[in-house]
Amino acid sequence: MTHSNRLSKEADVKVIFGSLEKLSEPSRFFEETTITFLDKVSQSILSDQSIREYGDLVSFGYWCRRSNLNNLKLNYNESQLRVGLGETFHIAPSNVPINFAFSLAFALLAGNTCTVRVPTREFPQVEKLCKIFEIVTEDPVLKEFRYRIAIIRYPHSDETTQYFSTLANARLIWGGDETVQYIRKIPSSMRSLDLTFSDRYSLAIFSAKHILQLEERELKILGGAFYNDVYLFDQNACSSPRLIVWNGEGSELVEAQKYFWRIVGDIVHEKYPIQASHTSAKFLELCNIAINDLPIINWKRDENQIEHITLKNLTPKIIDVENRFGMFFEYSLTNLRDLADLIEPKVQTITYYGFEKGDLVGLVPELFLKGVDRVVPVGQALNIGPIWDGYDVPLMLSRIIDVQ
Amino acid sequence: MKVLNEDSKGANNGSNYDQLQLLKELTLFHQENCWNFKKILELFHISTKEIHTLQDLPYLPVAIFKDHKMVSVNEEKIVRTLTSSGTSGQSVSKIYLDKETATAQVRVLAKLLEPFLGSARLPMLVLDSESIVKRGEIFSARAAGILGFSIFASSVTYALDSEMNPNFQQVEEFVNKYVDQPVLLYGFTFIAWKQFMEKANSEKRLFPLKRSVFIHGGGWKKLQDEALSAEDFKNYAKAIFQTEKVVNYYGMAEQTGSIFLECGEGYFHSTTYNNVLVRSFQTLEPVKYGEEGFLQTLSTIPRSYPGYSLLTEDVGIVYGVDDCICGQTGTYFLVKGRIPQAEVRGCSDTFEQIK
Repeated sequence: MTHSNRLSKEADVKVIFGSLEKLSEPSRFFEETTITFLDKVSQSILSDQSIREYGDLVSFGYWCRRSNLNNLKLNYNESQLRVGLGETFHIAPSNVPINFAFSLAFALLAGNTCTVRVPTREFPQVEKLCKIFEIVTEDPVLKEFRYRIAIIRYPHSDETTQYFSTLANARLIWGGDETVQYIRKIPSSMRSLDLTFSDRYSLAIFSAKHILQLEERELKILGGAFYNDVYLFDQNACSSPRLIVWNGEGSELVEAQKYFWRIVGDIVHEKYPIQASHTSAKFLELCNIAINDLPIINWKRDENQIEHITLKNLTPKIIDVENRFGMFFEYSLTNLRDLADLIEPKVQTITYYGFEKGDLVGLVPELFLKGVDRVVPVGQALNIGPIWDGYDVPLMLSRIIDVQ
Repeated sequence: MKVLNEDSKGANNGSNYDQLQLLKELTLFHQENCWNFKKILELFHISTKEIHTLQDLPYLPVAIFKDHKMVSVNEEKIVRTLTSSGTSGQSVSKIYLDKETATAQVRVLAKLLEPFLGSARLPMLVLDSESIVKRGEIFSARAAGILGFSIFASSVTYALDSEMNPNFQQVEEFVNKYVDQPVLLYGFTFIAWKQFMEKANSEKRLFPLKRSVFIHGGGWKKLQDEALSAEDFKNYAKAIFQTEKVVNYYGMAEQTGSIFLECGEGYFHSTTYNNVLVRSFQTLEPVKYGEEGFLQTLSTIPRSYPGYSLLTEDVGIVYGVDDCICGQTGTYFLVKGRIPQAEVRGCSDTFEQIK
């Protein structure tokens, strides 16, 4: 096997922030200077008026506040001597602008140096955050982060990817199945670890009774939260629900569905302009559904072009359907245990409304051993955290020095 | 432009009742004979009893022919399979033809072209390579086009060699032989431009065929990337071949035979055999004349496959029926290119973006 242990002269690598010359030593897990660095970044983001319009960057800003990071730190066992693995190489997805920042932060907190390949498409969020890194690291105490981080951009090149792969002690591969398969073919170093984020499937569960108990004003808030879960990423994020499971029956169920979709429809109408390519993709997918013999009772298209496909029974076959841009499978049950028919390793997030956390926790050992990594209230589907896809990412990116 | 003779006038009525009856019958036929088609009608609650106008006819997305075998006759009756050009490595559409449908395609094409070409067979110059039609059982749309048109030819000459380079010598021989005679020029728009006309133009070569009719179609999606307008193409063609008769047509592999020819005013026209509707980008409901939307094509030909009513990914505008100032009847319309592909957000990259 050939190794390219030098970056060829032709390699078209653009460093947007930091340096390819890295510090050779990892740092300690959740080290104080790392927290300070992220907190300074947080302050810059939250005080910058020009960033207000980028909701995703603002939420990153909130997430990396000192108080939040200190809280996270409490989850880990401080009696262990834990350090970063070393150098990490991140391949960020091309269509979620801020994902790279979380990937970077998790690895930094674990104590690693980071090389992050951001999408070739230029997002303002990326440029703005790199500028903030530049300013924050002018502080002599934080200057070392210029040698802990490299945010880079390069056109697809196996050779360049291999170069960074051989230097890395861990790779974080985002971007779904195709990217994971593609990058995995490129060898990395002997002790290197790959954290892969493949395609996943998510659903929402609603209690019909509880939806009906909401006043319109309250349902608008819930509907807005649901809208964010689904539409901010064209219903194409791993954690965006594509199946809605209703707990209820009879007229209560029918009324709750009508009420919920009326409110959501209004929000969609106001906020989500329908593109021709969405319409055409949805129409094609509906025809595919018909041909592929899925157990369907009914199909309905709302005024606001939300497509509803009512299922006769739950089947993992729906996981392969590419329903996006506001197209939902719906299923009703009276016992959540029936979800078992669907749960597969590919199922990632369940968002819920109208259930007690305690009841859901009770289901975990019975239903969710085979799949499901997250169960979160409606509105939190897209909130990424250090625990993702069932991994504790900082923990995975660190090692214990076992001194006895 | 007076291209229509008396005989064909009655054949051009875009809104006629017989056409609707034929298309209704085709709906029933495919419902009974194509299982996949039947399942789609069921999902969309389409009752064949409730078809009262062209707008009520069901339609299929063109891409459905890529992912599924859509066929309405027994396998053993299939005599030919057509594939779409399949640009940029995507999967290709497959169209299955039985003898009946293949014959109907040729018959209809002849009817459509008669006003332009007359009834005598003409020498034909194809602005493509012969190698494209020599590929066995499976034909590309390009090959199907060439073969379809060549039945009107007394002889066929190819302007490109097997490497797709212009064979100027051969074309000159053709010109010398037929300089004062009516001839047919035919080509796939993009190929004709990129492989022949652009080179002829840069070398300042002329091929005076003053009595020729140049019919070209398809491939304009790529022409858009070259920033060459339909009008530019026409002007270059007129200059290179010194003919006034350059006729564009709109038509898809999925509906070979049923093409829409351009009139003297630059509009495509429907005939007895075909029609178009325009549907909203948002709701898929029919839009008003003059408004943009998805172009839906109708054809009375396809029986061996359910491609008689298709929702394309092309942007079209219908301007009216039977009242085009050119005097020709039928629905007249323009095609404005492909629908724009909106950037899809989400964590899963597509393979094209990785490669």
